[in-house]
Amino acid sequence: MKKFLFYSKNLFFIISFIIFIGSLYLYSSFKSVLYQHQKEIHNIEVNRAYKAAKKITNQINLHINNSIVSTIYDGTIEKDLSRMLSYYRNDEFKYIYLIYIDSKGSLRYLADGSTVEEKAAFHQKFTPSNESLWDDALIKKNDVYDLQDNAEELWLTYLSPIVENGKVEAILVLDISTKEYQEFSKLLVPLEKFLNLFLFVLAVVFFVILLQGFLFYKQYKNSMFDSLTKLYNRHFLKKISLNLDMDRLAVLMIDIDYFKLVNDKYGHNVGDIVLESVARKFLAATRLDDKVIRYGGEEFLILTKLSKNKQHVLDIAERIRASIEKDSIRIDTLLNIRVSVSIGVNLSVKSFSSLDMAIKKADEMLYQAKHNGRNRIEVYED
Amino acid sequence: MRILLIILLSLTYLFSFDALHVKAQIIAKIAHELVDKDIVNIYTDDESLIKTKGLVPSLNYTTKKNADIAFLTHKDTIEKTCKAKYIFSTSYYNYKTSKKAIGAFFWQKGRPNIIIKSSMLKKLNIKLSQSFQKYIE
Repeated sequence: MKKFLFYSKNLFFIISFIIFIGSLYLYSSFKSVLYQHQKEIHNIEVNRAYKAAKKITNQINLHINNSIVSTIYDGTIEKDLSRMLSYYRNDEFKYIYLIYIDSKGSLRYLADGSTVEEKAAFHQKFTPSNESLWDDALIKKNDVYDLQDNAEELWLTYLSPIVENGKVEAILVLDISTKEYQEFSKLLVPLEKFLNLFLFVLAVVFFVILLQGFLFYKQYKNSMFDSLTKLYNRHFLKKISLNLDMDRLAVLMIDIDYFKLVNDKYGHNVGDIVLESVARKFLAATRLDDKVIRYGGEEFLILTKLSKNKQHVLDIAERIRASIEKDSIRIDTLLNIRVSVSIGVNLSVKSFSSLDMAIKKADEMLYQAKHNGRNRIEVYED
Repeated sequence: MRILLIILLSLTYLFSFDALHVKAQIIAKIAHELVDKDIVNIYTDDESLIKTKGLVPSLNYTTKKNADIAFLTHKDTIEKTCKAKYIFSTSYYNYKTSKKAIGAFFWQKGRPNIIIKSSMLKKLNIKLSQSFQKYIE
Protein backbone atom coordinates (compact mmCIF):
# COMPACT_ATOMS: atom_id res chain seq x y z
CA MET A 1 0.00 0.00 0.00
CA LYS A 2 2.82 2.37 1.02
CA LYS A 3 4.66 1.51 -2.17
CA PHE A 4 1.55 2.22 -4.19
CA LEU A 5 1.15 5.57 -2.44
CA PHE A 6 4.78 6.46 -3.11
CA TYR A 7 4.56 5.64 -6.81
CA SER A 8 1.15 7.28 -7.25
CA LYS A 9 2.50 10.49 -5.67
CA ASN A 10 5.46 10.42 -8.03
CA LEU A 11 3.11 9.90 -10.95
CA PHE A 12 0.99 12.80 -9.76
CA PHE A 13 4.04 15.11 -9.82
CA ILE A 14 5.07 13.93 -13.26
CA ILE A 15 1.56 14.41 -14.69
CA SER A 16 1.29 17.84 -13.01
CA PHE A 17 4.63 18.83 -14.48
CA ILE A 18 3.57 17.69 -17.98
CA ILE A 19 0.30 19.62 -17.64
CA PHE A 20 2.24 22.68 -16.49
CA ILE A 21 4.66 22.53 -19.43
CA GLY A 22 1.75 21.97 -21.84
CA SER A 23 -0.14 24.93 -20.41
CA LEU A 24 2.96 27.07 -20.62
CA TYR A 25 3.31 26.14 -24.28
CA LEU A 26 -0.34 26.98 -24.84
CA TYR A 27 0.11 30.30 -23.06
CA SER A 28 3.20 31.23 -25.08
CA SER A 29 1.35 30.34 -28.32
CA PHE A 30 -1.56 32.60 -27.34
CA LYS A 31 0.84 35.33 -26.36
CA SER A 32 2.67 35.03 -29.63
CA VAL A 33 -0.59 35.42 -31.58
CA LEU A 34 -1.46 38.39 -29.41
CA TYR A 35 1.96 39.91 -29.98
CA GLN A 36 1.65 39.46 -33.74
CA HIS A 37 -1.72 41.16 -33.65
CA GLN A 38 -0.35 44.05 -31.62
CA LYS A 39 2.53 44.34 -34.03
CA GLU A 40 0.07 44.57 -36.92
CA ILE A 41 -1.87 47.30 -35.15
CA HIS A 42 1.40 49.06 -34.48
CA ASN A 43 2.41 48.84 -38.16
CA ILE A 44 -0.98 50.08 -39.33
CA GLU A 45 -0.74 53.05 -36.98
CA VAL A 46 2.84 53.89 -37.99
CA ASN A 47 1.85 53.63 -41.65
CA ARG A 48 -1.04 56.03 -41.07
CA ALA A 49 1.29 58.42 -39.29
CA TYR A 50 3.73 58.23 -42.20
CA LYS A 51 1.01 59.04 -44.75
CA ALA A 52 -0.36 61.85 -42.60
CA ALA A 53 3.14 63.27 -42.10
CA LYS A 54 3.81 63.31 -45.84
CA LYS A 55 0.49 64.99 -46.52
CA ILE A 56 1.08 67.60 -43.82
CA THR A 57 4.66 68.21 -44.99
CA ASN A 58 3.36 68.91 -48.51
CA GLN A 59 0.86 71.37 -47.07
CA ILE A 60 3.60 73.03 -44.99
CA ASN A 61 5.72 73.45 -48.10
CA LEU A 62 2.83 75.16 -49.83
CA HIS A 63 2.45 77.56 -46.90
CA ILE A 64 6.08 78.42 -46.47
CA ASN A 65 6.97 78.59 -50.09
CA ASN A 66 9.51 75.78 -49.64
CA SER A 67 11.65 77.60 -47.08
CA ILE A 68 11.34 76.94 -43.39
CA VAL A 69 14.30 79.18 -42.60
CA SER A 70 12.61 82.26 -44.04
CA THR A 71 9.49 81.70 -41.93
CA ILE A 72 11.16 81.17 -38.56
CA TYR A 73 11.09 84.84 -37.68
CA ASP A 74 7.84 85.58 -39.45
CA GLY A 75 5.10 85.64 -36.83
CA THR A 76 2.28 85.84 -39.34
CA ILE A 77 3.12 82.55 -41.03
CA GLU A 78 3.13 80.80 -37.62
CA LYS A 79 -0.59 81.42 -37.21
CA ASP A 80 -1.36 80.09 -40.68
CA LEU A 81 0.77 77.02 -40.10
CA SER A 82 -0.76 76.36 -36.68
CA ARG A 83 -4.24 76.64 -38.13
CA MET A 84 -3.33 74.30 -40.96
CA LEU A 85 -1.85 71.76 -38.52
CA SER A 86 -4.96 71.95 -36.36
CA TYR A 87 -7.05 70.73 -39.34
CA TYR A 88 -5.29 67.39 -39.10
CA ARG A 89 -5.83 67.08 -35.37
CA ASN A 90 -8.30 64.36 -34.43
CA ASP A 91 -8.78 61.58 -31.84
CA GLU A 92 -5.90 59.72 -33.38
CA PHE A 93 -3.37 62.53 -33.94
CA LYS A 94 -3.77 64.31 -30.64
CA TYR A 95 -0.96 66.85 -30.99
CA ILE A 96 0.62 68.02 -34.23
CA TYR A 97 3.40 70.59 -34.07
CA LEU A 98 6.42 71.83 -35.90
CA ILE A 99 9.76 72.18 -34.14
CA TYR A 100 12.71 74.07 -35.58
CA ILE A 101 16.35 74.13 -34.62
CA ASP A 102 17.59 77.58 -33.67
CA SER A 103 21.05 78.99 -34.34
CA LYS A 104 22.28 77.64 -30.97
CA GLY A 105 21.01 74.15 -31.78
CA SER A 106 18.07 74.36 -29.37
CA LEU A 107 14.70 72.99 -30.38
CA ARG A 108 11.83 75.48 -30.46
CA TYR A 109 8.20 75.53 -31.50
CA LEU A 110 7.53 76.98 -34.92
CA ALA A 111 3.84 76.13 -35.08
CA ASP A 112 1.44 74.14 -33.00
CA GLY A 113 -1.92 72.72 -34.06
CA SER A 114 -2.98 71.88 -30.52
CA THR A 115 -5.98 73.28 -28.65
CA VAL A 116 -5.60 76.62 -26.83
CA GLU A 117 -4.98 74.85 -23.49
CA GLU A 118 -2.18 72.70 -24.87
CA LYS A 119 -0.78 75.09 -27.43
CA ALA A 120 2.86 76.08 -27.09
CA ALA A 121 4.02 79.61 -27.76
CA PHE A 122 5.87 80.62 -30.90
CA HIS A 123 9.64 80.07 -30.28
CA GLN A 124 8.93 78.30 -27.00
CA LYS A 125 11.82 76.05 -26.02
CA PHE A 126 11.15 72.36 -26.55
CA THR A 127 13.02 69.71 -24.55
CA PRO A 128 12.48 66.19 -25.90
CA SER A 129 12.04 63.38 -23.41
CA ASN A 130 13.70 60.88 -25.75
CA GLU A 131 16.81 62.66 -26.97
CA SER A 132 18.22 59.71 -28.91
CA LEU A 133 15.06 59.54 -31.03
CA TRP A 134 15.45 63.21 -31.92
CA ASP A 135 19.13 62.73 -32.67
CA ASP A 136 18.14 59.93 -35.05
CA ALA A 137 15.69 62.19 -36.88
CA LEU A 138 18.21 65.03 -37.08
CA ILE A 139 21.23 62.99 -38.11
CA LYS A 140 19.71 60.27 -40.31
CA LYS A 141 17.10 62.65 -41.72
CA ASN A 142 14.60 59.81 -41.73
CA ASP A 143 11.14 59.47 -40.22
CA VAL A 144 11.41 57.86 -36.77
CA TYR A 145 8.98 56.99 -34.04
CA ASP A 146 8.96 55.73 -30.48
CA LEU A 147 6.39 54.40 -28.08
CA GLN A 148 5.52 56.82 -25.32
CA ASP A 149 5.87 55.60 -21.75
CA ASN A 150 6.25 58.93 -20.04
CA ALA A 151 3.34 60.92 -21.36
CA GLU A 152 -0.32 60.94 -20.46
CA GLU A 153 -2.72 59.38 -22.96
CA LEU A 154 -0.07 59.20 -25.66
CA TRP A 155 0.85 55.98 -27.35
CA LEU A 156 3.39 56.90 -29.97
CA THR A 157 5.36 59.92 -31.12
CA TYR A 158 6.19 60.16 -34.83
CA LEU A 159 8.89 62.51 -36.08
CA SER A 160 9.18 63.52 -39.72
CA PRO A 161 12.19 65.75 -40.55
CA ILE A 162 11.77 68.59 -43.03
CA VAL A 163 15.01 68.86 -44.98
CA GLU A 164 16.15 71.91 -46.87
CA ASN A 165 19.38 71.99 -48.83
CA GLY A 166 20.47 68.74 -47.22
CA LYS A 167 19.93 70.07 -43.70
CA VAL A 168 17.12 69.30 -41.28
CA GLU A 169 15.52 72.67 -40.65
CA ALA A 170 12.45 71.50 -38.78
CA ILE A 171 10.71 68.41 -37.54
CA LEU A 172 7.02 67.69 -37.84
CA VAL A 173 5.79 65.88 -34.73
CA LEU A 174 2.67 63.76 -34.51
CA ASP A 175 1.69 62.58 -31.05
CA ILE A 176 -0.64 59.62 -31.48
CA SER A 177 -3.23 59.13 -28.81
CA THR A 178 -3.70 55.88 -26.91
CA LYS A 179 -7.39 56.12 -27.82
CA GLU A 180 -7.05 54.48 -31.23
CA TYR A 181 -4.77 51.82 -29.90
CA GLN A 182 -7.20 51.12 -27.10
CA GLU A 183 -10.03 50.83 -29.64
CA PHE A 184 -7.99 48.33 -31.62
CA SER A 185 -7.05 46.43 -28.52
CA LYS A 186 -10.52 46.43 -27.00
CA LEU A 187 -11.15 42.84 -28.07
CA LEU A 188 -7.70 41.67 -27.09
CA VAL A 189 -7.60 43.11 -23.61
CA PRO A 190 -10.00 40.57 -22.02
CA LEU A 191 -8.12 37.74 -23.70
CA GLU A 192 -4.80 39.09 -22.48
CA LYS A 193 -6.20 39.54 -18.99
CA PHE A 194 -7.50 35.98 -19.05
CA LEU A 195 -4.12 34.69 -20.22
CA ASN A 196 -2.28 36.60 -17.52
CA LEU A 197 -4.67 35.28 -14.90
CA PHE A 198 -4.28 31.81 -16.36
CA LEU A 199 -0.49 32.03 -16.12
CA PHE A 200 -0.71 33.37 -12.61
CA VAL A 201 -2.99 30.51 -11.50
CA LEU A 202 -0.72 28.08 -13.29
CA ALA A 203 2.34 29.47 -11.55
CA VAL A 204 0.62 29.24 -8.16
CA VAL A 205 -0.50 25.66 -8.85
CA PHE A 206 2.99 24.68 -9.97
CA PHE A 207 4.49 26.38 -6.96
CA VAL A 208 2.14 24.42 -4.67
CA ILE A 209 3.00 21.19 -6.50
CA LEU A 210 6.71 21.89 -6.13
CA LEU A 211 6.26 22.74 -2.48
CA GLN A 212 4.25 19.56 -1.92
CA GLY A 213 6.89 17.57 -3.75
CA PHE A 214 9.66 19.14 -1.72
CA LEU A 215 7.85 18.52 1.57
CA PHE A 216 7.05 14.96 0.56
CA TYR A 217 10.66 14.31 -0.41
CA LYS A 218 11.90 15.88 2.83
CA GLN A 219 9.48 13.84 4.90
CA TYR A 220 10.38 10.70 2.98
CA LYS A 221 14.10 11.36 3.46
CA ASN A 222 13.64 12.14 7.15
CA SER A 223 11.76 8.91 7.66
CA MET A 224 14.85 7.00 6.51
CA PHE A 225 17.30 8.60 8.93
CA ASP A 226 17.88 8.59 12.63
CA SER A 227 17.54 12.16 13.83
CA LEU A 228 20.29 11.91 16.48
CA THR A 229 23.12 10.11 14.69
CA LYS A 230 22.06 10.98 11.10
CA LEU A 231 22.62 7.32 10.23
CA TYR A 232 20.02 5.23 8.42
CA ASN A 233 17.28 3.76 10.60
CA ARG A 234 15.41 0.45 10.65
CA HIS A 235 12.77 1.88 8.32
CA PHE A 236 15.49 2.23 5.72
CA LEU A 237 16.70 -1.31 6.42
CA LYS A 238 13.17 -2.60 5.84
CA LYS A 239 12.96 -0.68 2.59
CA ILE A 240 16.21 -2.02 1.12
CA SER A 241 16.11 -5.54 2.56
CA LEU A 242 14.24 -6.98 -0.43
CA ASN A 243 16.67 -5.56 -2.98
CA LEU A 244 19.92 -6.66 -1.37
CA ASP A 245 22.20 -9.15 -3.05
CA MET A 246 22.58 -11.68 -0.25
CA ASP A 247 25.35 -13.52 -2.13
CA ARG A 248 27.65 -10.54 -1.89
CA LEU A 249 26.87 -9.16 1.53
CA ALA A 250 28.43 -9.14 4.96
CA VAL A 251 26.73 -8.03 8.15
CA LEU A 252 28.37 -6.34 11.11
CA MET A 253 26.42 -5.94 14.33
CA ILE A 254 28.00 -3.47 16.77
CA ASP A 255 27.14 -2.61 20.33
CA ILE A 256 28.69 0.00 22.63
CA ASP A 257 30.07 -1.72 25.71
CA TYR A 258 28.59 -0.67 29.05
CA PHE A 259 26.55 2.06 27.41
CA LYS A 260 23.83 1.72 30.06
CA LEU A 261 26.42 2.67 32.71
CA VAL A 262 27.30 5.81 30.74
CA ASN A 263 23.64 6.80 30.65
CA ASP A 264 23.13 6.00 34.33
CA LYS A 265 26.25 7.80 35.48
CA TYR A 266 26.30 10.90 33.26
CA GLY A 267 22.73 11.17 32.01
CA HIS A 268 21.08 10.79 28.63
CA ASN A 269 22.56 14.00 27.17
CA VAL A 270 26.06 12.62 27.58
CA GLY A 271 24.79 9.29 26.22
CA ASP A 272 23.56 11.09 23.13
CA ILE A 273 26.95 12.76 22.61
CA VAL A 274 28.62 9.35 22.82
CA LEU A 275 26.18 7.92 20.26
CA GLU A 276 26.81 10.82 17.87
CA SER A 277 30.57 10.50 18.23
CA VAL A 278 30.56 6.74 17.71
CA ALA A 279 28.29 7.15 14.65
CA ARG A 280 30.79 9.59 13.12
CA LYS A 281 33.56 7.05 13.59
CA PHE A 282 31.48 4.35 11.90
CA LEU A 283 31.04 6.60 8.90
CA ALA A 284 34.74 7.44 8.85
CA ALA A 285 35.71 3.77 8.91
CA THR A 286 33.33 2.60 6.17
CA ARG A 287 32.97 3.24 2.45
CA LEU A 288 30.34 5.42 0.84
CA ASP A 289 28.30 2.49 -0.45
CA ASP A 290 28.31 0.71 2.93
CA LYS A 291 25.02 1.06 4.79
CA VAL A 292 25.47 2.15 8.40
CA ILE A 293 22.23 1.74 10.33
CA ARG A 294 21.21 2.58 13.87
CA TYR A 295 19.53 -0.68 14.69
CA GLY A 296 18.44 -0.07 18.25
CA GLY A 297 19.41 2.11 21.24
CA GLU A 298 23.18 1.56 21.20
CA GLU A 299 23.15 -1.17 18.56
CA PHE A 300 24.37 -0.51 15.05
CA LEU A 301 24.33 -2.53 11.89
CA ILE A 302 26.67 -2.23 8.95
CA LEU A 303 25.88 -3.85 5.62
CA THR A 304 28.90 -4.03 3.40
CA LYS A 305 29.63 -5.63 0.04
CA LEU A 306 31.48 -8.90 0.25
CA SER A 307 34.21 -9.42 -2.30
CA LYS A 308 36.32 -12.53 -2.85
CA ASN A 309 38.77 -11.24 -0.36
CA LYS A 310 36.75 -11.25 2.86
CA GLN A 311 39.56 -9.59 4.77
CA HIS A 312 38.33 -6.10 3.92
CA VAL A 313 35.19 -6.71 6.04
CA LEU A 314 37.33 -7.69 8.97
CA ASP A 315 39.48 -4.63 8.31
CA ILE A 316 36.42 -2.42 8.60
CA ALA A 317 35.44 -4.09 11.86
CA GLU A 318 38.92 -3.70 13.25
CA ARG A 319 39.18 -0.07 12.13
CA ILE A 320 35.96 0.68 13.97
CA ARG A 321 36.93 -1.19 17.11
CA ALA A 322 40.43 0.29 17.25
CA SER A 323 39.39 3.88 16.52
CA ILE A 324 36.76 3.86 19.24
CA GLU A 325 39.09 2.25 21.75
CA LYS A 326 41.90 4.68 20.89
CA ASP A 327 40.24 8.07 21.21
CA SER A 328 38.27 9.21 24.23
CA ILE A 329 35.10 11.20 23.58
CA ARG A 330 35.25 14.80 24.73
CA ILE A 331 32.00 15.75 26.46
CA ASP A 332 33.15 19.12 27.83
CA THR A 333 36.31 20.71 29.18
CA LEU A 334 36.18 18.57 32.33
CA LEU A 335 34.83 15.29 31.04
CA ASN A 336 36.26 12.83 28.55
CA ILE A 337 34.74 9.38 28.22
CA ARG A 338 36.43 6.34 26.81
CA VAL A 339 34.18 3.63 25.42
CA SER A 340 34.66 0.45 23.46
CA VAL A 341 32.55 -1.61 21.10
CA SER A 342 31.94 -5.30 20.57
CA ILE A 343 31.36 -6.47 17.03
CA GLY A 344 29.71 -9.56 15.61
CA VAL A 345 30.45 -10.28 11.96
CA ASN A 346 28.54 -12.59 9.64
CA LEU A 347 30.53 -13.33 6.49
CA SER A 348 28.16 -16.04 5.23
CA VAL A 349 24.97 -14.16 4.65
CA LYS A 350 24.18 -16.13 1.48
CA SER A 351 23.72 -19.28 3.50
CA PHE A 352 20.77 -17.76 5.38
CA SER A 353 17.21 -17.80 4.08
CA SER A 354 16.59 -14.15 4.89
CA LEU A 355 18.41 -11.00 5.92
CA ASP A 356 16.70 -11.15 9.32
CA MET A 357 18.24 -14.54 9.92
CA ALA A 358 21.67 -13.31 8.84
CA ILE A 359 21.37 -10.33 11.18
CA LYS A 360 20.32 -12.67 13.96
CA LYS A 361 23.52 -14.65 13.39
CA ALA A 362 25.62 -11.50 13.55
CA ASP A 363 23.80 -10.65 16.78
CA GLU A 364 24.75 -14.04 18.18
CA MET A 365 28.38 -13.35 17.31
CA LEU A 366 28.07 -9.99 19.03
CA TYR A 367 26.74 -11.73 22.14
CA GLN A 368 29.72 -14.06 21.97
CA ALA A 369 32.10 -11.10 21.77
CA LYS A 370 30.45 -9.61 24.84
CA HIS A 371 30.68 -12.93 26.61
CA ASN A 372 34.37 -13.28 25.76
CA GLY A 373 35.30 -10.02 27.43
CA ARG A 374 33.98 -7.16 25.17
CA ASN A 375 36.01 -4.74 22.98
CA ARG A 376 36.53 -7.55 20.51
CA ILE A 377 35.32 -8.95 17.19
CA GLU A 378 33.77 -12.39 16.69
CA VAL A 379 33.30 -13.69 13.17
CA TYR A 380 30.94 -16.27 11.73
CA GLU A 381 31.83 -18.02 8.50
CA ASP A 382 30.63 -21.32 7.04
CA MET B 1 -1.46 33.99 -2.11
CA ARG B 2 -2.16 37.28 -0.37
CA ILE B 3 1.52 38.25 -0.51
CA LEU B 4 1.64 37.47 -4.24
CA LEU B 5 -1.40 39.68 -4.85
CA ILE B 6 0.15 42.52 -2.85
CA ILE B 7 3.39 42.19 -4.82
CA LEU B 8 1.48 42.22 -8.13
CA LEU B 9 -0.55 45.26 -7.14
CA SER B 10 2.55 47.09 -5.90
CA LEU B 11 4.39 46.35 -9.15
CA THR B 12 1.43 47.59 -11.19
CA TYR B 13 1.39 50.72 -9.05
CA LEU B 14 5.12 51.24 -9.34
CA PHE B 15 5.28 50.83 -13.09
CA SER B 16 2.14 52.73 -13.97
CA PHE B 17 2.51 56.28 -15.25
CA ASP B 18 1.22 58.54 -12.55
CA ALA B 19 1.34 62.25 -13.41
CA LEU B 20 1.02 63.34 -9.77
CA HIS B 21 4.02 61.31 -8.68
CA VAL B 22 6.00 62.48 -11.70
CA LYS B 23 5.18 66.09 -10.79
CA ALA B 24 6.24 65.51 -7.18
CA GLN B 25 9.52 63.94 -8.28
CA ILE B 26 10.29 66.79 -10.68
CA ILE B 27 9.54 69.42 -8.04
CA ALA B 28 11.87 67.59 -5.65
CA LYS B 29 14.58 67.33 -8.31
CA ILE B 30 14.40 71.07 -9.06
CA ALA B 31 14.18 72.01 -5.36
CA HIS B 32 17.22 69.96 -4.37
CA GLU B 33 19.19 71.21 -7.37
CA LEU B 34 18.76 74.81 -6.25
CA VAL B 35 18.49 74.60 -2.46
CA ASP B 36 21.23 72.95 -0.47
CA LYS B 37 19.07 71.60 2.35
CA ASP B 38 17.95 68.12 3.37
CA ILE B 39 14.38 69.35 3.77
CA VAL B 40 13.43 72.08 1.33
CA ASN B 41 10.59 74.48 2.17
CA ILE B 42 8.35 74.95 -0.83
CA TYR B 43 5.25 76.94 -1.60
CA THR B 44 2.80 76.57 -4.43
CA ASP B 45 -0.51 78.17 -5.36
CA ASP B 46 -1.06 75.75 -8.23
CA GLU B 47 -4.04 73.45 -7.62
CA SER B 48 -2.48 70.43 -9.31
CA LEU B 49 0.85 70.86 -7.50
CA ILE B 50 -0.76 71.28 -4.07
CA LYS B 51 -1.92 67.68 -4.47
CA THR B 52 1.72 66.54 -4.47
CA LYS B 53 1.99 67.49 -0.80
CA GLY B 54 3.25 64.56 1.25
CA LEU B 55 4.46 62.51 -1.71
CA VAL B 56 8.12 63.42 -1.25
CA PRO B 57 9.38 63.37 2.36
CA SER B 58 12.20 65.83 1.68
CA LEU B 59 9.78 68.61 0.71
CA ASN B 60 8.07 70.70 3.35
CA TYR B 61 5.05 72.60 2.02
CA THR B 62 4.97 75.94 3.76
CA THR B 63 3.82 79.57 3.36
CA LYS B 64 4.96 81.94 0.63
CA LYS B 65 6.97 83.91 3.21
CA ASN B 66 8.94 80.94 4.54
CA ALA B 67 9.52 79.08 1.30
CA ASP B 68 12.98 78.50 -0.18
CA ILE B 69 11.45 77.81 -3.58
CA ALA B 70 8.01 78.48 -5.01
CA PHE B 71 6.00 77.12 -7.92
CA LEU B 72 3.47 79.81 -8.75
CA THR B 73 0.52 80.28 -11.04
CA HIS B 74 -0.58 83.81 -10.17
CA LYS B 75 1.32 86.68 -11.67
CA ASP B 76 0.83 88.88 -8.58
CA THR B 77 2.25 86.26 -6.27
CA ILE B 78 5.25 85.84 -8.53
CA GLU B 79 6.00 89.53 -8.84
CA LYS B 80 4.96 90.90 -5.46
CA THR B 81 4.00 88.75 -2.52
CA CYS B 82 6.18 85.66 -2.64
CA LYS B 83 9.46 85.96 -0.72
CA ALA B 84 11.07 82.74 -1.95
CA LYS B 85 14.52 83.12 -3.45
CA TYR B 86 13.77 80.78 -6.33
CA ILE B 87 10.50 81.20 -8.18
CA PHE B 88 9.20 78.89 -10.87
CA SER B 89 6.14 79.79 -12.89
CA THR B 90 3.64 77.11 -13.76
CA SER B 91 2.70 78.90 -16.98
CA TYR B 92 4.94 79.66 -19.89
CA TYR B 93 3.38 83.08 -20.45
CA ASN B 94 3.99 84.23 -16.85
CA TYR B 95 7.52 82.91 -17.02
CA LYS B 96 8.21 84.83 -20.20
CA THR B 97 6.82 88.09 -18.87
CA SER B 98 8.15 87.79 -15.32
CA LYS B 99 11.20 89.58 -13.97
CA LYS B 100 11.44 87.34 -10.93
CA ALA B 101 10.79 83.82 -12.20
CA ILE B 102 13.96 81.82 -12.59
CA GLY B 103 12.18 79.20 -14.64
CA ALA B 104 8.97 77.49 -15.57
CA PHE B 105 7.56 74.08 -14.80
CA PHE B 106 4.32 73.26 -16.51
CA TRP B 107 2.37 70.38 -18.01
CA GLN B 108 1.81 70.56 -21.74
CA LYS B 109 0.77 67.89 -24.27
CA GLY B 110 0.64 65.24 -21.56
CA ARG B 111 4.27 65.81 -20.60
CA PRO B 112 6.25 67.82 -18.07
CA ASN B 113 8.12 70.88 -19.39
CA ILE B 114 10.98 72.61 -17.61
CA ILE B 115 12.58 75.82 -18.82
CA ILE B 116 15.21 77.80 -16.93
CA LYS B 117 16.27 81.37 -17.72
CA SER B 118 20.04 81.72 -18.10
CA SER B 119 19.96 85.46 -17.27
CA MET B 120 18.36 84.67 -13.89
CA LEU B 121 20.94 82.00 -13.20
CA LYS B 122 23.66 84.59 -13.77
CA LYS B 123 21.85 87.14 -11.63
CA LEU B 124 21.48 84.72 -8.74
CA ASN B 125 24.93 83.28 -9.32
CA ILE B 126 23.70 79.72 -9.72
CA LYS B 127 25.51 76.89 -11.44
CA LEU B 128 23.34 73.95 -12.38
CA SER B 129 24.48 70.36 -12.75
CA GLN B 130 24.89 68.71 -16.15
CA SER B 131 21.46 67.08 -16.04
CA PHE B 132 19.81 70.52 -15.95
CA GLN B 133 21.79 72.12 -18.76
CA LYS B 134 19.31 71.04 -21.45
CA TYR B 135 16.54 73.08 -19.79
CA ILE B 136 18.45 76.37 -19.83
CA GLU B 137 17.59 79.00 -22.45
